[in-house]
Amino acid sequence: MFARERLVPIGVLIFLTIGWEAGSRAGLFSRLFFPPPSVILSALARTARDGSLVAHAGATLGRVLGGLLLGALPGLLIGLLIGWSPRLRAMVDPVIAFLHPLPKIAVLPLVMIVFGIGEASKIVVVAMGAFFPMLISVMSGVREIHPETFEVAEAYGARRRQIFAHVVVPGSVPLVLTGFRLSFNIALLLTVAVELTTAQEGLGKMIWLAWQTMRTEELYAALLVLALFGAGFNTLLGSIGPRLAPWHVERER
Amino acid sequence: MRVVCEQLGKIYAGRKPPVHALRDVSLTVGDGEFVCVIGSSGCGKTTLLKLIAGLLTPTAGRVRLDDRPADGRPATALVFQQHGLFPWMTVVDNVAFGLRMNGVGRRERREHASAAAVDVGLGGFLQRFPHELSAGMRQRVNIARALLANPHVLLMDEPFASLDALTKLALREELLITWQARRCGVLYVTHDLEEAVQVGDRIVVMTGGNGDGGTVVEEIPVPLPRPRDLVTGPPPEAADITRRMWTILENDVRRRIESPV
Repeated sequence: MFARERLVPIGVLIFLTIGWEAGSRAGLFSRLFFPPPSVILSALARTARDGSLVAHAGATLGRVLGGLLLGALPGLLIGLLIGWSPRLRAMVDPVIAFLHPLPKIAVLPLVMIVFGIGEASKIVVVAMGAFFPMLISVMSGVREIHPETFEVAEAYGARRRQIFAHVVVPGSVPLVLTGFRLSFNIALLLTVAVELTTAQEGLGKMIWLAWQTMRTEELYAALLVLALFGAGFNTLLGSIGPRLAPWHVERER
Repeated sequence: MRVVCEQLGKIYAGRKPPVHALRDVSLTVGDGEFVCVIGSSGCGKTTLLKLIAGLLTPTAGRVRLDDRPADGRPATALVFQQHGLFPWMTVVDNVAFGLRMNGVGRRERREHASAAAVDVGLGGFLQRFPHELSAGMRQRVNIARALLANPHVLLMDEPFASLDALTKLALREELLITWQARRCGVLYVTHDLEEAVQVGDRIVVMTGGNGDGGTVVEEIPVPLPRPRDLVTGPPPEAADITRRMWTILENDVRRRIESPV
């Protein structure tokens, strides 16, 4: 049963790929718009061999990770604190309500005036985008902890710092993981958006160049790598999750 | 050691309008005494326990601890109602939490906590998480944690309220056996008339008043012999006590049923 559940989607994927390949080769649809998967794969191999794919992918990955480091991590810490303290929350709430919905890509020109046209501006924009989803998830993660849990900790002699370490932090782990997933998605989106507009290197730039020169197979190759990034990160989180919060994952089942 | 409450009052000033939860409550829990507090929901029973546990500060009166020996034992430990366990900690770590807060080393506290958990029948579940346990098992963890603190007075806030009748009976029996072995005081909040008669040496009856705070209206001694047979229920002479409690509570209960939420 289990094996079958896994085999069916793989089968569907193979079927679609073969259909695409055959349809494209038979001229059922345009080879320019939909080059056969084999051509895309060879473009992937070619750009990997000449180093350009690696350089583009590396630049993108670096921006995503840099943005997560500078955005999601502060979001995590601040989220824990304002999720815990109603007073702090009341102070910061209007600021969040105002800045969170702002499309961060719109801030890029302003950021470039401040940080210059180099790498710093790009990472700052990505970090701004990664900051809010994490902040908001973690905040609601802390607020989901049952109020009685805090009283128990207090009743057994926990001081504020201990309550933070033994209640606030472990209790919010499930939503920290959710926060990471959301932050990663936004970071990847913004990285590509920034690369389409300004970068010299990156998968967004590779897509742009491929479009300008009509090499659609390279465009697809870049998309494939981006999709793999996303899937890879989600798989990673999916395997870390049960280890960090065994009490939560099993409850979901 | 005795816990003495003197004219305790509590107003939650932070809420709008301020909530008067407790008014002029005086009561004593003697050495090794099993005292039940009964009252309709919202009459301030839980507030009373939290005041005694030191989780809340009274706005009037005070809690005194008389004849407290210098044996290092805590005056009180609180058994919570239902959500009292940390979902992210195993049974052992939940039981060991108090020791951990007191800076007891990992190995030592696990040793003590395991022993305490085994004592209440959790031997096979030490490494389980609370969600893997039945409701009855979870309350055993809750009780084991409080007992491990070895308090002079055990404070229990409707500890078995969420359990089915049979599980309740079994755990109640376990509790009485433990209490008789330890001779600690117990202050037991309940809203179950029969339970109060079955377990208590004395019953403190509280009513909610009209928004001016719950208070103690009567104390009823329960002169039934021990050990008591919980299975067959209280003997005929206990009926008088039950009737007396109900006479006091009935108005309060009916008013609460009919009042809007």
